[in-house]
Amino acid sequence: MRYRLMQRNETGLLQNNGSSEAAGLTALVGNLKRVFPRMTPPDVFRAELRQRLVVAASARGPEIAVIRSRQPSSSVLVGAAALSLAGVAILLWRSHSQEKRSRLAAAGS
Amino acid sequence: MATRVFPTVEGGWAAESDEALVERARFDAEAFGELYERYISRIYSYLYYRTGSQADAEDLAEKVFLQALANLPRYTQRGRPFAAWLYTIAHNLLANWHRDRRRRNAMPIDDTRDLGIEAPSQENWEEASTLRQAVGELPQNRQLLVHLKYVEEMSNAEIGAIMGLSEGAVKSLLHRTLRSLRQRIAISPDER
Repeated sequence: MRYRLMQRNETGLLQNNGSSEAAGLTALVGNLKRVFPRMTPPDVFRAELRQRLVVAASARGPEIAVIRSRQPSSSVLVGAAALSLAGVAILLWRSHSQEKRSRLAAAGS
Repeated sequence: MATRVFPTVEGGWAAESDEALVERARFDAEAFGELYERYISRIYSYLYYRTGSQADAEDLAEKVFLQALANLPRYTQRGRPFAAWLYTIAHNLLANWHRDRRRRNAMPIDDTRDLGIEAPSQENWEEASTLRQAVGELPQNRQLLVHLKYVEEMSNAEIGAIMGLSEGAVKSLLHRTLRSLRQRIAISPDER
């Protein structure tokens, strides 16, 4: 069986009857398997790439991945610092206000 | 995915699932090497047929695994197999490759002749080229489907897991793909 690509003005094979369509699909599947065998990479390439990957994985360090996944991000750290500063400012302001009120109360009495 | 027994390159059997290997690879460089051995042939074969070039397939295969290694800390399984993740990386790199080169992915003749994967007769060679060209004109997802089914010889369920489709959807898409291939190719008049 010889294949060629259909021209635009041609009629497809699927206009044949059902049994020939089934036979055609079966033949097509067989040809696909034959035309596309599993390719394997060259042994030298395969071994060299594995070596490079293992070296790269080792260089990355086992704990880095874990630490990275557990470390808070920089934006979280900045946000926490800003909140802390705001908290300190509120505490200072409140203590200053209380002191002022007590001074006024003492002066009034 | 449950623990399965996998054939190894050395001909032995490994009882560790992909998921277990991925977890171990976060701490153990050799575990990533095992994942690599498990998938390098599949990924290479896919890249080879999509680029038609041994050199480009090697280059892209290296990028796929380096990218997988770099992103492993961020990889979460969420019910998606590791193989599906790898094919997604390969697919994205291929898309960039095709965009960069702006060329069709028909297989160059010299490459396949050198690799000796084709029958020697001119008649068979032409037929194979026609089929490859027709497959190369399919949409991306259908090319992957043809590859997984007829090169990797996976079951519809395995293909579904990788492509994110139900088994029935794979079967249906496969049938539509074969029909469209049949419509695209013709048998020479003297052979009918």
